[in-house]
Amino acid sequence: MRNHKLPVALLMLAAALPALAGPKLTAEQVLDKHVAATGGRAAYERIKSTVTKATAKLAAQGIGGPMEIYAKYPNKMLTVQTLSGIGETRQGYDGKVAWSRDPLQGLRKLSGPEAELVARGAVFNTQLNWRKAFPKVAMLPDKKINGAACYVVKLVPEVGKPLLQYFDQKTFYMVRMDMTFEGPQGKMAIETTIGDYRPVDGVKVPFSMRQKIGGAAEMVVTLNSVKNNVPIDDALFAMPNK
Amino acid sequence: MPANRRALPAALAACAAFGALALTPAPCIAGPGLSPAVRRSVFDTIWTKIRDKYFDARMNGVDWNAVRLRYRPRLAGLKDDAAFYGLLQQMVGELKQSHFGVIPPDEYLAEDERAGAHQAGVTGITARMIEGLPLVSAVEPGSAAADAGVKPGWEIVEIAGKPVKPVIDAVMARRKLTETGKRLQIRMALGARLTAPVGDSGAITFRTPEGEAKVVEVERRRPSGEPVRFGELPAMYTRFETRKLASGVAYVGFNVFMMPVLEPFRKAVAEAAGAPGLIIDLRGNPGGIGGMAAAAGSSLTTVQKSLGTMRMRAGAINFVMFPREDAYSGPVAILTDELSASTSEVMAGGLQDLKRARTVGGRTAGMVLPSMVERLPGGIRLQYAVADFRTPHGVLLEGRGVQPDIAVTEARADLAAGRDPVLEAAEAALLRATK
Repeated sequence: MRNHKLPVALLMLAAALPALAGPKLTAEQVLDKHVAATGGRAAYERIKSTVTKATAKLAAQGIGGPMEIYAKYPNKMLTVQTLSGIGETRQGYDGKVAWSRDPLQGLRKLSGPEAELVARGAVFNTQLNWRKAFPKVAMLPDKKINGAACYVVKLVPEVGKPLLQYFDQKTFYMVRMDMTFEGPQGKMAIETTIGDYRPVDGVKVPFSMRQKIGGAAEMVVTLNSVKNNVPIDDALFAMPNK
Repeated sequence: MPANRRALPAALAACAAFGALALTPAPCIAGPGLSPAVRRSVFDTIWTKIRDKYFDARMNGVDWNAVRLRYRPRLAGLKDDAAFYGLLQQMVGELKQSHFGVIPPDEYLAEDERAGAHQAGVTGITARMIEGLPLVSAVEPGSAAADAGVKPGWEIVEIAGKPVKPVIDAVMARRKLTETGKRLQIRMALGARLTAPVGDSGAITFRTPEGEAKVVEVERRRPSGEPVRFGELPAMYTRFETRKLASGVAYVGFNVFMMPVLEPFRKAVAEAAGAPGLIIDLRGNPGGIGGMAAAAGSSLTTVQKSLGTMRMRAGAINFVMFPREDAYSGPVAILTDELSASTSEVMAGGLQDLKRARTVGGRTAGMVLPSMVERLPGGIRLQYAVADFRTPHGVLLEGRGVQPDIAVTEARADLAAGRDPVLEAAEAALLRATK
C-alpha cells in the first residue's frame, strides 16, 4: 500500500495542475468579461448620462456628508461633496478643463497629472471605453482578495501612475482598485474595496466602496441612488467664475 | 460608474481634514463603569489601530508587541474607569510623541443625554509661567474674571483652596522636559484647574505685584465665541479679533484653526492691503484642521508654495498655498508662545522657513503631528498621529518647535502696566522692515 500512495498522489497533482492554472486570459479579455458580467456592452451603451447620489463618511472620525456625481457621455463629470466641518468641494471636467473648488483652497484650474487624473475619471463608462484613458493594459500575477482569487489588471495612462484593478475570477466583478493621487499636494496611495453590486437599468453597479487613503484615513462611500439618462445641462460641468 | 470618479475629492478632503490639534488633558469625572470585556476590547482596538496606522511603521523605536504584553495583564487589577484611562494614556505615551491621547467620554458630556449636568466653564484667565511665577498673563474682556476685577500680572497662589505650588514643583522637577515643555505643562495644568462646571464659583487666591493677597470668587462661564464641532473632537469655541494698531499695522488673532475663522481671516487680510505690516497672533492657539494652515497662508503669498510636507504610511501630502488675488504682500509677523501648537506651528514654521514671515515671542510647543480622533466603544476617543510634518527645508518640528526670530522675554511689570511686549516687538520690527 505504502508504495502506491506517492505515485497516485503525484498523478492526481499532475492532473490538477492545468485546472489550477486555468486558461490564460489577456488583460483585454478580463476587462471584456467584466463588461459582460456586469450587463454587457449593449446595456452600457444605452446609458448616456448618470446622476448618482451617495453618502461619504470618514466613519471613525465622525466626519461625512452627502455626495452627488453627475456624468455625461463622452467625458463630462462633476462631483459635489460636502464634509461636515469643512464644507462643499466641487470637482469637474467639461471635456477640456479640469477644475476644483473647495472651502480651503478656493477655485483652481487643475493642470499636470492632477488634471489628467480628473479627465480620466470623466471618461464615461470607463469599463467599456478604457482605451480612451489607458493606452496600455497588462496582466499582473493573480492575487487573493478577501479569500477570493482575483485577476489583476494594470492599466497604464499616458501621463501619471498606473491603476490596478482586481477582478474576482468567478464573477468577474471588480472587487478592488489601487490608484495613486498625484498633484501639487503630493502623491498618495488610495486603495478602494468595491462591493454590493446592484442592477440599475441592466448594468450592475457597485453601491459600496471603502477607501483607504494614504494608509491612514478610511472613507466609506455608499450609493443611495443611481439614475441614468437624466438630462444634464453641459453648463453644469464648466468651471465657474468664482 | 467607475470608482475612481468618486475617489479624488473625497481623498483630498479627507487629508485636509486631518486634525492637527494639541488637546488639553482634562480631569476624568466618575461615570458608570466599563465592563472588563469592554475594557479589553478598547485596549485591543487602541493597540491595533496604532500598530496599523501610526505613520512610523518602526513605532518610533518602541517594541509595540512588548508594550502590549506588559500592559494588557494590568487590565485585571484596575479599580475604576479613571485608572483604566490612566493606563491607556500611559500605554500610548510609550511612543513619546505628541497627538497620542485617550479622551474620556466625560469630555463629550455636553452632547450626551447628561447634557447640562456638566459643561466646562472657564474664568477668562490665561495663566502662564513668567519670571518663574504662575501669573495671570491676560484677562479676557467681558469674562467672569474681568467682571471680578482680576488683573494681569497677579500671581495665582491657590485655586479652590488648593495651592498651585506643588503642581509647578512637580513639573519643574521633570528633568527631561525642555523649558518650553515645562511652561506648556504648567499652563495646561493651571488651565485644567481653573476649569469647572458652568455655574460653579470657586475662590482663587492671588498675590498682586505689590505683595497684597486677594481672594476672589470667580464664576465659571461658558467660553465666549462661536461653538464649533469637528468630527470626534470635543466642542470648541472659535474667537477671532482684528484691529488696526495706532501705527497702521494690521492685527489679526484667532484661538483655533476651525472653518468659521477662515473667511474672517481672509477678509481681514484683504483689508490690510496697504498697511505697513500684518501681525498674526497665534499665541495660545493649539491648532485645529491641518489643511487650514495652507488655506490661511494662501492669503499671504503671490506664488504657489508649500508650507511643508506631511508623510503618512502610504504617501506624502504638501501643505500647498495656492495664491489668492487679494493676497497681502507686505511684511508679516507671527506671534507665538508655548501653547502655539500643531497647525499653528505648521503655519508659523512654514512661513518662517519660506522667509515670508518673522516669528516673534516664545518657542512653540513642538507638537506637530497630523492626527485623527476616533470614537471607540464606551464613548472613549483615541487621538493618534497619522503623519509627521517637515518644513520646506526638511526641518522636523515635532519635539523641536518653532524658534522665534525675535525672542521676547515677558516681564511681570509689563503685564501689570497693561503692556504686551510681544506685540510691541512685532510692531516695531514690521515698521523697521518697511522703512
